[in-house]
Amino acid sequence: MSESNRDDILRTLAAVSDLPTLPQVVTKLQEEMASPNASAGSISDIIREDPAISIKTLRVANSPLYGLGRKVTDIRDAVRVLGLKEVYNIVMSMSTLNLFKSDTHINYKKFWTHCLSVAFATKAIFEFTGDMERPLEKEELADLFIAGLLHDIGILVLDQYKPELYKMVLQKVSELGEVPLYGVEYELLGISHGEIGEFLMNKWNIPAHIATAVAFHHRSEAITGKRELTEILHIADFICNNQGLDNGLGVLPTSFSDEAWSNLNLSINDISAIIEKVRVESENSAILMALA
Amino acid sequence: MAISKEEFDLFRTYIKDKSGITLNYGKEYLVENRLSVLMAQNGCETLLDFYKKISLNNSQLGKKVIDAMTTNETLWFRDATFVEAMEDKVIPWLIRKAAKKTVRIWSAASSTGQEAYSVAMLIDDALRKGGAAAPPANRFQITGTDISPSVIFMAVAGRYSQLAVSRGMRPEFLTKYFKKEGVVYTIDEKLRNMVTFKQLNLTESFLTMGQFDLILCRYVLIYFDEDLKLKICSKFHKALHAESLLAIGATESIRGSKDFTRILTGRSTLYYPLSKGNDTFNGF
Ligand SMILES: C[S@@+](CC[C@H](N)C(=O)[O-])C[C@H]1O[C@@H](n2cnc3c(N)ncnc32)[C@H](O)[C@@H]1O
Ligand SMILES: [Fe+2]
Ligand SMILES: [Fe+2]
Repeated sequence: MSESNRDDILRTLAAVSDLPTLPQVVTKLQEEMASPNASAGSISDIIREDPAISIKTLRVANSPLYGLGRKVTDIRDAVRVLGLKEVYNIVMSMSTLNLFKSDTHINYKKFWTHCLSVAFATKAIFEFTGDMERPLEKEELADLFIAGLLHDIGILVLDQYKPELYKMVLQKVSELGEVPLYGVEYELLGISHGEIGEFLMNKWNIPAHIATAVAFHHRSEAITGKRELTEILHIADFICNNQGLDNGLGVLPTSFSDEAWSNLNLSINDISAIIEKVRVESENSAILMALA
Repeated sequence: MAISKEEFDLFRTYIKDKSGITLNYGKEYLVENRLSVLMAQNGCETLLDFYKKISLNNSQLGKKVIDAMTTNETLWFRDATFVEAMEDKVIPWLIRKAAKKTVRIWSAASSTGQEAYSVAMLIDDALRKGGAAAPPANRFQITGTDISPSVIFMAVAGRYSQLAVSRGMRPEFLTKYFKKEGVVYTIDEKLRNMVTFKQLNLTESFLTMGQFDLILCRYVLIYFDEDLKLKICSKFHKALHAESLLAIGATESIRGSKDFTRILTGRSTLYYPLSKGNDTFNGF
């Protein structure tokens, strides 16, 4: 039954014409950033066209999140001080946190606080990684933020477009008490929120390596090739859940992938320090939640 | 081999019926490897054939399947007879030792921490009952080790679900040693400070571990063949003080080892290291 559900879900989503879309400003930003001519000037011009996003971006830039010590007065200034990718991350957060707001049984505040916590936590985990076979570039660190922000978005898609089926999934998770959400998704739907998230991110033209990390965030071993982004996301998600910064739908996770931990060369001696750092970093999510 | 949901469920139910342990979904990929080895060894082509074989009352093989599928499973205060022996005999003996020296205890496959923390609770409880005459708690050093970073993380974090704390826990200890935060039970800071967790593969050297008064090595030797089991026992022998004990699981045996002799306290499985001085244990 789950195989046919999987096909049915993918067919439904492919046919849905009103899948949530990103605001135009984000789409344009993405196009510009992918072009070789992108500059601080051209990026700023695009953001300025959307006054609401501009205001929010400035508020975030001037928030304690960056502690800049002086006031950033315009977008151009923000791009120069924070960098392109960081500004893109802010715009992306401000845009997605308001999607899917229709009222269901999902607690949106808890849900997005979890996603942002994971996004910030990836940075904390990265700081504790040791030598890796394929080290991450600084650029990819910014990508990790987007991966964290969107890693569970497939849940919202499933809940919105397959409400009856998904209600069954959530019910079963809460009845059984100790099974991970994605396990029940595979069982009843034949697909998990990771792959659904990837599907949406592809529609949104988010770079493939970020979408892949989201697709595999519950089973990083299954990736062939560069796995480090996914592994950091996987561990960050686990730690946030373990620390009570969960998305409100699952249960306390019982394990993470030992392979991921070892491949990132994280150390057992650092566990307490990692937890502490994750807690501190994830407090930033409140700032973004308040400004979105 | 890819294990299907239905196949996994068959084995899941079997384990639940035979051992009371509920396996999590999401563990399929872990289980897959272990089962396929057992399957091949027993000349079965498919998991279904294999399942038929064990369910037709092949309890020897059934036990192996249970062992293979419950690798990280653990409980608080595991084995009533063992806990009884700990409270009546072992801990009073350790407390007497602690009057003169630091007592070192090693939980040698600590999984998510239940075993190490259970010992810490029993000791703390005994010390409180001992009142002013009791040695200070910092005379006890408990070390937990495991091969898996994931279980060590859980142990260090000391945060347990409702289900996890319901397995074997004594209600009065739950109130005394845990704080409820939302749906999570967090272990007491004081107990956490009694225990240090490290990563260690039992097949590797124990040289960094030092000497112990009590080693608990429970429900892990079952995963090794006889030869390896005896090698590990001889490493434990070297890591033990002259007057010390080794505890194994109630359903386990190290009869083949010449390094240890069994101490009879009910049905509990306590062993005393030989040729370290006095060959009879006079601790209790
Ligand atoms: C079934 S649990 C037993 C936990 C606990 N001792 C108890 O009795 O409840 C077995 C544990 O042994 C660990 N383990 C397996 N092989 C190991 C090895 N070679 N070295 C160290 N630990 C190992 C597993 O990670 C698992 O946490
Ligand atoms: Fe997830
Ligand atoms: Fe998550």
